[in-house]
Amino acid sequence: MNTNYLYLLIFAALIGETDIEVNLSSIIPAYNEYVTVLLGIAGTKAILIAMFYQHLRYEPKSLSAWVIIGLVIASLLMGLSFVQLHVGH
Amino acid sequence: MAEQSWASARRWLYTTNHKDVGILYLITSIFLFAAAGVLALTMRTQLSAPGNTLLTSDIYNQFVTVHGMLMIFWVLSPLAFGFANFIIPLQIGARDLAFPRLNAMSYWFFLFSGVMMILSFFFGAAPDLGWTLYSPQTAALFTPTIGFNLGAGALILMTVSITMSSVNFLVTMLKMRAPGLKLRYMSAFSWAILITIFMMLYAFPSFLAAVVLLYVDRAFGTVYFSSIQGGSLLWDNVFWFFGHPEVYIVLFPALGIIADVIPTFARRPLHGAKYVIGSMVVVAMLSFAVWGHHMFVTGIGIVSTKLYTVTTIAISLPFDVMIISLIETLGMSKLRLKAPALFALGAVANFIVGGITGVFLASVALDYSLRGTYFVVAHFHYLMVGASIIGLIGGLYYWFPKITGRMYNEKLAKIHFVISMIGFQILYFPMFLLLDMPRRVVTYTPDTGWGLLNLTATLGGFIFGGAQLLLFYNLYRSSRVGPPSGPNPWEAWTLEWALPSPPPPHDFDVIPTFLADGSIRFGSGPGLPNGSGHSSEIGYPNGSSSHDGNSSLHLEGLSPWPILMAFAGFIFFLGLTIGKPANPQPVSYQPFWPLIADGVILGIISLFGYSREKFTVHEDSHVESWPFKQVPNMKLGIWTFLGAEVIFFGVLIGSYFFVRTNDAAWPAAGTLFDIKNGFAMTLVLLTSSLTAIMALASARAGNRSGLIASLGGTLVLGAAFLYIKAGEWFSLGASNVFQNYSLPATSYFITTGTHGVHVFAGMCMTVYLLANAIKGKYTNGDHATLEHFGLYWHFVDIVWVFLFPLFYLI
Repeated sequence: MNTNYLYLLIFAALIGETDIEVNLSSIIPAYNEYVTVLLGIAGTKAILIAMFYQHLRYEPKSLSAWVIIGLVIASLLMGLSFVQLHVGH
Repeated sequence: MAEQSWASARRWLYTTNHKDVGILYLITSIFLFAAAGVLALTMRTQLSAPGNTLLTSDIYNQFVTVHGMLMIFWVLSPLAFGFANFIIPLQIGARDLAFPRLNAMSYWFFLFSGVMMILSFFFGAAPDLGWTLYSPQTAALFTPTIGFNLGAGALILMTVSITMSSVNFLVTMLKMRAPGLKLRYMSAFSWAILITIFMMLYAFPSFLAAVVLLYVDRAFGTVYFSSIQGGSLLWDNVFWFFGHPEVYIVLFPALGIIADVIPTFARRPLHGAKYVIGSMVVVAMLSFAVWGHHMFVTGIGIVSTKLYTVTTIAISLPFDVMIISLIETLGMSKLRLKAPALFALGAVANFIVGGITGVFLASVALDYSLRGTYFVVAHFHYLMVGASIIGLIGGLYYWFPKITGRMYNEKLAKIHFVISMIGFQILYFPMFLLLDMPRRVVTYTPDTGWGLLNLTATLGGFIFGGAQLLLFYNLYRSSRVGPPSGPNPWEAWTLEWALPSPPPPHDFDVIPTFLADGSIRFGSGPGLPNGSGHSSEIGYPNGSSSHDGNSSLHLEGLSPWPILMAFAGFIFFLGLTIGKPANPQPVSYQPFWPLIADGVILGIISLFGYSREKFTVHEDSHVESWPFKQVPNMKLGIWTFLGAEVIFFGVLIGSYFFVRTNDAAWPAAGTLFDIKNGFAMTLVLLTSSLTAIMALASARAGNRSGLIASLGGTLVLGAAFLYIKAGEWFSLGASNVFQNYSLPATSYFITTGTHGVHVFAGMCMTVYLLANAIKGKYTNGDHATLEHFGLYWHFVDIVWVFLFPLFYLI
């Protein structure tokens, strides 16, 4: 596929997902599920941008792993802080 | 004469050579070591007798804080960076670091940040709450001094320096190793630095975010750390998430030195080298999961306390492997007790004491009673001074001949060692016995019974401090009149010793090759055994590389822009932090605009000069660069920097989550921040990502008009994003949002503000790219810069992809 078309396709997907995000509360009324799906959609948008606009899909896997390390460490901070606040009290 | 002086000054001010920068780091950190030592001895004098009045409590608190900060941020790590700068490229067979000018800039940022921290004494009061800066005492309400803000500015500058260095070293070590030098064959010191830098990259952004949040709280009245939902617990998390890895960050370089020095003087390869390195890797990974043990007394919940107890005990186990390995290396060896070896052994002994007493603190029950006492002071000084400083001093003696080409006075060095070790034990061991004396108290009453132990510690302090004068004298004198050392006085095996002492400016006439049999070959000459453990024969390099290389490789490598850019940053932050309080309650600061303007103007000029300067760094294609063989240096550097940015924004978003999930009264989606605004900004930014990638596609296709149009579109869309954002900011600001929704407003303004600054920075880059594109650049296969810009711009877009739902939709 022509890369320019691919970029446009990704852009369309990003806009479509944003549109879904804005209207999601009317589809999923339960708050916790709503937040989970919302952040899931944000995650897929981020992955699309990273893979196709930042070209991670075409880079060596080691570079993706390098990026993932940062995400894992940031998640560790958020996850363990959440446990401190809300688990075992 | 004057011309000669200027040439010398010019060399040191403008140098980008890794060895010069290393020497600058070493000298600066030695001076700051002396300054921090003077503060410490003054404090010890104050505590030497009950009821002493030498220092007021205010001054004492400032001395405690600045002493701690100077030692941790401006002595221990920079001393290690000094060695790393000088030695690492030599050990891995690189001609310099990947980005020499960035390396020089890191040093100047470090120097100016240190100046700023010391200046804080002269602006009301220096930071005075301990190096941990516990909230909410750091709120402007309780510490309304400009000096405190200045200290925060210094920490921000220092963190910028560290981040630049981290990126530079990681790219260098992962991408520029001599042919054949696989990661597993690197020396223990190189490995220790690699792992240290890795921890720095991911730990310091958390600290940067914490200090930025703190500064904004103080300057603009936001409430992250003064609210109940955030407050002390939030600070504890974001600080200690950095603070505990920092313990290993200051320790590992010394351990690496020890693991290089002991095999050299024991004449045996490091026993179980791969297990030592594996242990360091395990510690580095676990270091990000133990920070909660600093929070046992904060009521974080039983599950968390159990979790952190397990991880803290677990992290002590790899250290056992390292110690056993060092002991095994010594076993049956014919140890030559030269000064570096003595200091290495002393550091190991102190490390064992400091490490074991640290394991005590993993127990929740013990931690409850020992927390905040002099037992803890003794424990961490056994690590930070006993292991780290003593180990680094061993490194000073070890590499002194390589750096200066002269030998130090061995007898004086041995006397220095003996007095240092005796003084150290007299200084710190009594503190283990002061189990009930709280730290950071300015004085105590006679009936406490602490007087004798404190007097003993003070005596030890002066013995230890006095011993360091021998070190300074020895190094100074020997660097001028010491006998020539020759290339390899220790008959050591790592690559730096194969070069003349001091090494030539360009390091290697010919890049060496590490052969499969463990030897090192220069050009077509015979291989020299490198003692990396997989050669049955132990031999000695002859200390000279073959001279069949091209001497024109000697590059002068001077650039004025690194120091000017760092100076611009310095005066910018000075202007930002020394402004007068606008009103006293609550304190809010008005920046000193003339200095800020000067900083911005100088920064723009320097940036322009930096980008226009012809400064070529050759990227060798035949070097060892697993696991990033296909990735160019600059691209890896950008991705590595973005890794640090992930943590920075992760902390900002994590802080938002923290207060959000801790606050039952958060306004519903759409009531505070207009969803339409958020949606519009999202569309604009996503479209700008499309134009940015189309700019790259146009450049690749050689389509100049498409490139210019796409870049112009990116610029306009970035401006549109900021325009909508500014409108929202002003509208919210006018609606008294802070009075009614202080915490949602705090998180919103700080997080979106920081993101906005990133968008603005991206727009500045776009202007530069656009100007070059109009001149005809990037369409002739030279589009790498565009690709690198795109990585950054899309990252900023990704951050917004998360901010939009977080602030507008939930």
